[in-house]
Amino acid sequence: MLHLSNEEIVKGIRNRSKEVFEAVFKQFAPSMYNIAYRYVKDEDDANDMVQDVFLNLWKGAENLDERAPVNHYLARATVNTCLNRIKKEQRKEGYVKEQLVTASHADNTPSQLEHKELEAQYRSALEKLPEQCRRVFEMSRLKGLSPAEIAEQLNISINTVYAHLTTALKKLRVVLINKE
Amino acid sequence: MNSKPDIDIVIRYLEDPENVQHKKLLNDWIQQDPGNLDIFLDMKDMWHGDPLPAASAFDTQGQWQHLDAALDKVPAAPPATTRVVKMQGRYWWAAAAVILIAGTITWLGPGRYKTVTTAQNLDSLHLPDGSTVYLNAHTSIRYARSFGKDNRHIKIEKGEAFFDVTRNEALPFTVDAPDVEVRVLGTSFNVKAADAGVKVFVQSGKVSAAWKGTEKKVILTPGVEASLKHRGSDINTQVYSKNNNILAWKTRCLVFDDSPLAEVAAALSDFYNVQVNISNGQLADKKLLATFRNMPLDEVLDIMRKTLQINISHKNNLVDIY
Repeated sequence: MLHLSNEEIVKGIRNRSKEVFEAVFKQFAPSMYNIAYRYVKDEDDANDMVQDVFLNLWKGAENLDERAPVNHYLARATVNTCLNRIKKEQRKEGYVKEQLVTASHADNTPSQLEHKELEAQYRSALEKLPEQCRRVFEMSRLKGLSPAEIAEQLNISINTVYAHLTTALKKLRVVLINKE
Repeated sequence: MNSKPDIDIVIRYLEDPENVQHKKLLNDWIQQDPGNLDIFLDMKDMWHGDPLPAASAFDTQGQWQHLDAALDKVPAAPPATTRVVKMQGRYWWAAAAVILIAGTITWLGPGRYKTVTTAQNLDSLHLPDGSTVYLNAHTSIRYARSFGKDNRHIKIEKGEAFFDVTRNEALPFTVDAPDVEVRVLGTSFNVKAADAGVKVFVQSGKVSAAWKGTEKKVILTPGVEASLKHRGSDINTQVYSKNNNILAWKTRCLVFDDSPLAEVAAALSDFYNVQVNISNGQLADKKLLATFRNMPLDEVLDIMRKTLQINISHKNNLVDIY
C-alpha cells in the first residue's frame, strides 16, 4: 500500500498514474462496493457501479479538484451512482419483473455446513468484543434497534453508538476475512 | 425538497454533522432499511479516510484487474485545443481553474513587497510560514518579502480571503484591512473587505479585530462574524449557529437549511456576483432546503422555481424573483 498525501494522490490521478489509481482503488473500492451492494442489493450491479465510478474518474482525471480529499470525491460519486442507478431501475422495473420470477429460483445460498461454520466464527469474534461494544452491536443487529433508540436506552450519545458499531464491524470483518 | 431522505443525506450529514436537521433526516433514513446503517458506517469511515476492512464478498484483486483492463481501453485525452471547445456545461469550473492560472498576477517588485491579485478567478497560495491563503475573485493582497522571518503581516487591499494560519506564538499573524486590523496566533478565518466595510468570520481558534489606532476591538470565536462598517466606529457581531454560506466562495457549496428567501437571495448574489431582487414581498416567508454544489446559476434558479413554485427571471447580471 502506498502512503501518499492527498496532494500526491490527486497529482497521480491527474497524470493517470496506474500505480496511484491501483492504491486508491484497493483502499476504497471495498467500502464503495459495500455501500452500493446494500443500496441496490445486487452483487453484479454493485460491482458495475464501483467500476463505473473509477472509470469516470479516469476519464475526467484532469478535472479532479486538488483541494478536496479524493475519498470525499469517491463517497459523493458512489452516492450519485446509487441515486442514478435506482432511477434507471425504477424505469425498467416493468420490463424486468417477469424475468425475476423465473430467475429467483436459482440456488445460490451457501450449503448448510458452510453456513454453520460461518456462524460459529462470527459468534466467537463477537464474544471477543469489549462488553459495551458488543451490547450496542447486538441491540442493533439482533434486536433491530435504531442508533437513536440504542443511544437513549444506554444513555450514551449517538456518536458513541456509531463509534461502537464501527469498532465491531472492523473487528468482525477482519476475523471473517482471515478465517477465509 | 422535504420528501423522504435518500442516500445523499449521508453526505449532507458528513459535510455538516452538527446540523440538527441533517441528524434527524439521517436517523429517519437509517430506519427506512436495515442495510442503511451499514451504508452510513462504511461511508463515515471512508469519508474520514480510514475505510472499514473489505467485506469478504468483494474480490478486490479480481475487480482491480477488470478495471485495469477497462482503463487501457479508454482513449487517450484529446489534445488541449479540442478540449477547450468541449469545456461547456458541467465542466465550466474546470475552465475557471484554467483562468485561475492565467488570471492571477503575482507582482514581485519593485521593492520589498509581493502583491497577489485575482481577476475573475479564485486562487490559493502558501505563505513562507506554512499558512495558506485562499483568495476570492477580485481580491488583492500584499505582503513583505521578509514575511515569516521577522513578521507575519499581510495586507488585504480589496476583496475577500480565507486564512488558514499556522500557529506561532512568537510571531502573531496580522491582517491589515482598510481601517481594521485582525490579529491571530493560529487559526482559520475569513476577511471580507467590501466598500461597505470589513467583515471577519472565524472558523476555528480565536481572532481579534480592531479599528486601527483605537482601543476598540472585539475577540471573535468560531461561528462568530464581526462587521465593521466603513466610516463607523462600532463593531457588530453576529453568531451563526448553523451553516451560513460565508465560506461558500471557498467551499464552492451553498447550503440552505430552511433559509428564508431573502437570505438565499443575498447568498446567491455574493456567490454568483449578480444582483438579486425579490419584487414580490409575499415571497419573503418562503424557505429553501437545498444544497448546491458548484452548480451553474441557471440550474440553481431552475431548482428554486420548481421546489418553491415561484417565478424567476435571469437577464445579464440581474435576477428577479416574483
